[in-house]
Amino acid sequence: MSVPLQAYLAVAAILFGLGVYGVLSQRGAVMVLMSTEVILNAAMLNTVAFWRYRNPADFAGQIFALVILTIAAVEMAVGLAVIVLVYRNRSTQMVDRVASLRG
Amino acid sequence: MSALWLVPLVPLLAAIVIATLSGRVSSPSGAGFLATGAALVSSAMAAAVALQGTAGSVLRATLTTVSLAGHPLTLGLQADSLSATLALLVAAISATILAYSVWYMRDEPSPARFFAVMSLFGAAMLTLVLADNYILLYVAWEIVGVCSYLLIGHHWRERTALSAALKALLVTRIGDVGLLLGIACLFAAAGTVSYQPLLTSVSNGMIHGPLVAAGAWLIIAGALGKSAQAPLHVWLPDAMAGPTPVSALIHSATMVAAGMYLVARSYPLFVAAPAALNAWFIVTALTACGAAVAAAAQRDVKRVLAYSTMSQLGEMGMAIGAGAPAAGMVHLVAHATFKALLFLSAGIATKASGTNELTELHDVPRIASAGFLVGALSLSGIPPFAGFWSKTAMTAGTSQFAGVVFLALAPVSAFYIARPFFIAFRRPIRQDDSEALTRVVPVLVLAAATASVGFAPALFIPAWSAPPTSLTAVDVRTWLDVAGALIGWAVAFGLYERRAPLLIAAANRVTFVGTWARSGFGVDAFANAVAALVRTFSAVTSRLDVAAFDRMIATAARAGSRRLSGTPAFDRAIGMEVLAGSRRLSRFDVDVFDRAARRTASFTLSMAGLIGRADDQLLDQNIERGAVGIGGVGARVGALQTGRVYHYLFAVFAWIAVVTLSVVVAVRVWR
Amino acid sequence: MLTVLTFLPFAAGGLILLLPRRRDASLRFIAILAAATTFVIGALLMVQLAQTGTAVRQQAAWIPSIGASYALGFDGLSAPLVLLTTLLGLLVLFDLPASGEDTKELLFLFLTMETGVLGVFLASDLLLFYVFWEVALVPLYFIIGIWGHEGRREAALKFFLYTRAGSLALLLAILALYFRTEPRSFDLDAITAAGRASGSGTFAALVLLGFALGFGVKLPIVPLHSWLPDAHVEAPTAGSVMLAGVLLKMGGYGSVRIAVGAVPAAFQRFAGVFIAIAVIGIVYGAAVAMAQRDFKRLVAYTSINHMGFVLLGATLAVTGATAADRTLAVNGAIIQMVSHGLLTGGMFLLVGMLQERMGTRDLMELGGLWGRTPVFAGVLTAFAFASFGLPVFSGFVGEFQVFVAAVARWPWAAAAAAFGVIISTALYLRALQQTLFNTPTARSLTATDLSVRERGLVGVLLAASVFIGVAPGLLISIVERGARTLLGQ
Repeated sequence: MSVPLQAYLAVAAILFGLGVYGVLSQRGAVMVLMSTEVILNAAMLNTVAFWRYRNPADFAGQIFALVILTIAAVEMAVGLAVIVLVYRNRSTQMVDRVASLRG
Repeated sequence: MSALWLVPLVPLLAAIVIATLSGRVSSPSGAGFLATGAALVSSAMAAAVALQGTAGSVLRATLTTVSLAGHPLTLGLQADSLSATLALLVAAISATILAYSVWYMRDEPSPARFFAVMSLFGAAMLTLVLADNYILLYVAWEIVGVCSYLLIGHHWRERTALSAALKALLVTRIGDVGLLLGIACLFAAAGTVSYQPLLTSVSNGMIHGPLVAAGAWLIIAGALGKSAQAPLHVWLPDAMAGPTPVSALIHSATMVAAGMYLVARSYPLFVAAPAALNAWFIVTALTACGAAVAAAAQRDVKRVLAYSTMSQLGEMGMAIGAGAPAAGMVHLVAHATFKALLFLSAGIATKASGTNELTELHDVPRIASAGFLVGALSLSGIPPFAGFWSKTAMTAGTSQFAGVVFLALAPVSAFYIARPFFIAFRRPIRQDDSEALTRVVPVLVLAAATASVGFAPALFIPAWSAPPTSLTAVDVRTWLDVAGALIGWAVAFGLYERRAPLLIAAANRVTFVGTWARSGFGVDAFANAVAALVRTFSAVTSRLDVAAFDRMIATAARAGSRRLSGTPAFDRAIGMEVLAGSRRLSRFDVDVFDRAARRTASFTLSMAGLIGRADDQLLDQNIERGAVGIGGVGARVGALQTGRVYHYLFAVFAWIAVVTLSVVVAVRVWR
Repeated sequence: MLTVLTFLPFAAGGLILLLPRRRDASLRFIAILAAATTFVIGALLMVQLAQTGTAVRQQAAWIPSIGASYALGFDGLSAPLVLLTTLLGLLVLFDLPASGEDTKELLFLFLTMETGVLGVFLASDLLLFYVFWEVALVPLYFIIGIWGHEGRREAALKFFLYTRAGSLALLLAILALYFRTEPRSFDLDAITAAGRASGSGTFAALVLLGFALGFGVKLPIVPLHSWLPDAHVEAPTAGSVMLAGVLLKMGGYGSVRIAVGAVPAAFQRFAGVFIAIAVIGIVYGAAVAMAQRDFKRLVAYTSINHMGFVLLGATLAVTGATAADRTLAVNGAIIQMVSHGLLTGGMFLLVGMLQERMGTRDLMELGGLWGRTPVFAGVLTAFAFASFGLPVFSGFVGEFQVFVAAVARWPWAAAAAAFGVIISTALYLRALQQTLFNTPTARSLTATDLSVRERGLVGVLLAASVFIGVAPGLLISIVERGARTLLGQ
């Protein structure tokens, strides 16, 4: 029995939820980044699932997955650079300690 | 015709040379001699031009042509009989007065600057009379005004001189702006500003309409300002704060006559706008009479001459207004000679005594006394002096009514000039130390001129009008005028020389003159109403004590009225009430017009301050309050920014959720 | 060539930014060299324009998909203003505020501003015009905010916000016309044709309103002028000179070129309103100037007075009685802009020199300089006389033409404007007497006269004004050709 599409979607949804929970509740900046990575992967899983089940001939889905991958990589690089700088300046990576943009 | 350009160019070059080399010119006299020399050269050229011009031809020289919206503007000089005569007059009188100034300015500050500006003035004035179009005239007109400002304020360390200079420039500027608008109207109507095409088209009736009439009225405004006629006359008496040569050259012989020249030159325009011409006549007649009475009451010899100038200019204006512009110009020439002579003589006397007060002038040198006498006789119209011939021309060429006014003015004019003669110049002293030649010669030259100029009528025949002066023009009216003048002399003689008790008693009976002067003129009530209106506005708007401007004019006016009020010793000693009337008239002039001018000035300043504060409070502060309000809103919204990343992310996700749900619901509903 | 003219200052500014900070003198030299070269190019182009009479154009594709092209044009209307900009842009580099370590940034800002303004005057594509408009604005905000006087932060912010608000109205108007153009294009000629075709209905009226707000803030016209006195007072001298001499002209130029060109029918319909605004500006500017104690504020308000004549000329260009009157109105407006740039630029330079020597701009605390510093006194007197329209100087040429254009159809406006001239005479004379005469103060006794550099700066401006005043024929012929083309004669 082949796995139905909804299974993949459910997994992706669960991953997405875990990622959102992580982003909102984690205090460490690195943990926030990791949760963001999970969200992105959930979205990529969703994309690939829809491609495979709905329109396997069209390679647009694969390309979109590659785009998401690239964006995740770039974002990770930039995010880690920012975290390192923040740590150098503030000696902390707790996000609630870095609130100087307070309005 | 390049020689024509040299006439104004030579004094201009002299001015530039003096201004740039003033440090290196060896002595102040050097500057003076340079200026005088330039003026003499200019006169020679002007004479050459004049002699050629009287043959009936017109010399021209073009400077430049500017094309303005398809209308070519050709700016240049022309020398018809009128221009040539006036150019010669201006140049010659300049030369005479500049020679005199070499002596006068010996012990005055900044003589180099004086001579530079006087030369510049000469150049501008020559350009004014030689211009062949209104724009060049206007340019010269303004430059002449600026020179007058600089020269009145020559003693810039004195407050009176400064405020007088400012007042002069400001009041004449009011007229000048009117003139500018008038030229704009004429240009808009006719497409040209050159005299000949413009005035010819107006005479032919090719150009007519409201713009032309407006041009005529506005030209009158300009002439009123420059020639110190009512209501723009308040600056001339105060302008006497300048050195005497300045008063002689600018404020009697030349610049103030520019207004009269303008009206005479534009005469065809006024023929086409008779209402304007009549108004001109009325205003100048009123000024002539009022100023004559005021002149009889002055304590300061220069102010007597200033009011006299005003009155004589009024007579010129009357002649033009009554249909004899050529006669007016003849009087302009004659007036220049005798008025300059009077001023130079007065200058010698005031230098010797150190004051301008008539009663305090003593040790008057003989040359001054003689000069003053000749000038006074000429002014009164006693034959054979120049004034007699010009008065003849004016009475002969004008209407009956004008003739009556001239007749009435004759004794008053004679009186007001005989009075200072008898008070101050009657008993000269003998000065045997070798006085400067430059003091004596100019006076002699002018005396000769005023004595003889009447005998050369050929010079005064402008090509465009019938010759007014000839022995055949002398008739009954002329002799009546002479008789009136003699009466004036006799009265002055009796009052001041002989102290005849009969005359004094009669004078004391004539106090009603004072009352009449005060109320019957009618202008009184109107002027008081205007003053009251201005006062109401001043009271309503807040008083802003800005500037020396208000204080300066107030100081000058106070200084002026102080000279008129009070009872000095000689008045009490002689006990003359007849002067009270005329004194009240001149005080009226100072009070009403001067105060109106002062109040207008302070009103304008108050309005300026009010508008400034309104600008700040109404506009600026409200806008700033609005900005602060926006800032407050911004601050409150800014409180939403906690700085914590997870709050922001929560908001993002919440928003996404909301949007997604709404999309799903919307799709469902739509389906 | 036009591209070089426009971008050379910016390129030089960029070069300066890249160079090391230490060599102050060489940085300034580069800036001056670039500005001088720009001026020479402008002058040569002007000569060419005068001789051949044909406008110089340059066009290239930029964003074809929306119809925006890179189009520059140098004709009778823009040429005098371009030359004025390059001249003032060069002269201010000799009178910069003290900048210490930040010379690089200061020079870059001034050069960028010059490029922006040149682009505004030269652009023939409205999107390009708008971009340059904004580019010209930003550097001045920084110049005022960093190198200005005590109240500089607030003044800079006020200046920025006011102009920005106006610019948005301007953008809306441009876009509205853009969407009416078939085919869609930002080209000035195409938009002008579309605007004319839209008549004088509501659409055109709204477009005119947008232009009025956008250009009116810059001119400035009276209800929208409150930014000007503060900006001028707080800006450093060089900033004031550029602001008054050049940036205000952006509003005037826009009014003449774009408002008159694109929506003449609507402009004519509301001509009375604009004439009233112009005349109010003339009288109001002079009246409030007279009440000022701060000399710089006084000169700032006189800018409102002078630019009122420009707006009057722009309005008369659509509502003059005859074709000749309308041409004269455009002539007068452009020449008045040039004259005001020269004269008010010079006045601000002189007030700056005065402040350096006397330590104050308060008229009540000045006095007695006539005897001490004769050259300064003479030059100040000359500029003051020139500013109230004395003939022989350039102010008279512009004002006279506007008066001629006005008398036939709007005589009361001419009379009111004349009244404003009288007030401005009074205000300048008062300021002169306060500064030069009166009792000398302690500081005026030790004041030094103008140095050679200072004499050169004001002398150039004065000479230019006298040249235009005495021999206006050349300038008038150049401007008039542009005016005729604009008015379709």
